[in-house]
Amino acid sequence: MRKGTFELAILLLLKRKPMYGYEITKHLQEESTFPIADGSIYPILKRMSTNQWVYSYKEEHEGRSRKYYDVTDLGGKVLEARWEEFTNVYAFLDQLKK
Amino acid sequence: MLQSIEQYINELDLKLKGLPKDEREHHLAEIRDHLLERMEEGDPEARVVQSFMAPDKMSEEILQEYRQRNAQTFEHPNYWFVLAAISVIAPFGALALPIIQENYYAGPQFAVLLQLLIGSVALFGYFRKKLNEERVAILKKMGRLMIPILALPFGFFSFSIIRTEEWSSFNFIYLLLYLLVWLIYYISLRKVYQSSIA
Repeated sequence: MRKGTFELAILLLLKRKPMYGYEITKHLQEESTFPIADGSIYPILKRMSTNQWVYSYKEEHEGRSRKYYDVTDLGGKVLEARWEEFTNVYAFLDQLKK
Repeated sequence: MLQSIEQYINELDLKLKGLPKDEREHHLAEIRDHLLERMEEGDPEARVVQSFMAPDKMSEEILQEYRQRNAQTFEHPNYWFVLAAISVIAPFGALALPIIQENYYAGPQFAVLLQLLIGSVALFGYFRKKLNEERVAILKKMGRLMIPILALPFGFFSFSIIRTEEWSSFNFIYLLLYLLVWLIYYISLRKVYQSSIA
């Protein structure tokens, strides 16, 4: 569940604009809901690349090669499916609470 | 305890030896960029390194993903690498045949040369940056096979002299050319091996 939520959050972030690993980590760390340890984003991004949910490309930045990630078409579909699943779970829990 | 980014990168590099070289370099470059950016934002280097995921844990997760990815592929992960290495080494057996035939038949040898060419492009081009621990071990074994293969041209050369009771200038020149090509390949294989373990 937690792993899936991280992936969903990453897909949502990348849907806004391509980002690099540290940038994604900073955005996630801003929210206390996602206390992601520094560095643990990379195995997740690698797994998402292998699943072809995201793709990466390199850009030069101040003499360093920086790896950016963006969402693939498949990643977009996964995002929609996961979002629907997530809202359904949330709606169900909300109903239980009442 | 790790104090600097370079220490962290060196330790992670050692622990990721199971990954192909190019993949390992991509991971290291990305992580180095992350650590440097944190430092540029004002965090002390030692704190940046110590608060980052430990090299043990990082390598474990990366290697686990790599193993899972390999397990999903139909072929053995090193199938094409072994094929490329065999395509470079096996032709040296067939290339010795003209010595015993005392003639060079271009037709049959063309297929052998084509195999050598394709194998060379694959091994020294495509796979050069994709070496991991397993592939380096395979390369070492294959490279060592190059030496006993030399028994073939010398054996054929001697056999030809015994059979005809005279020196053949064709055989002598061909043997020299063979040895030259063999030496180039042997040194190239050794260089690829040495650069991969450096």
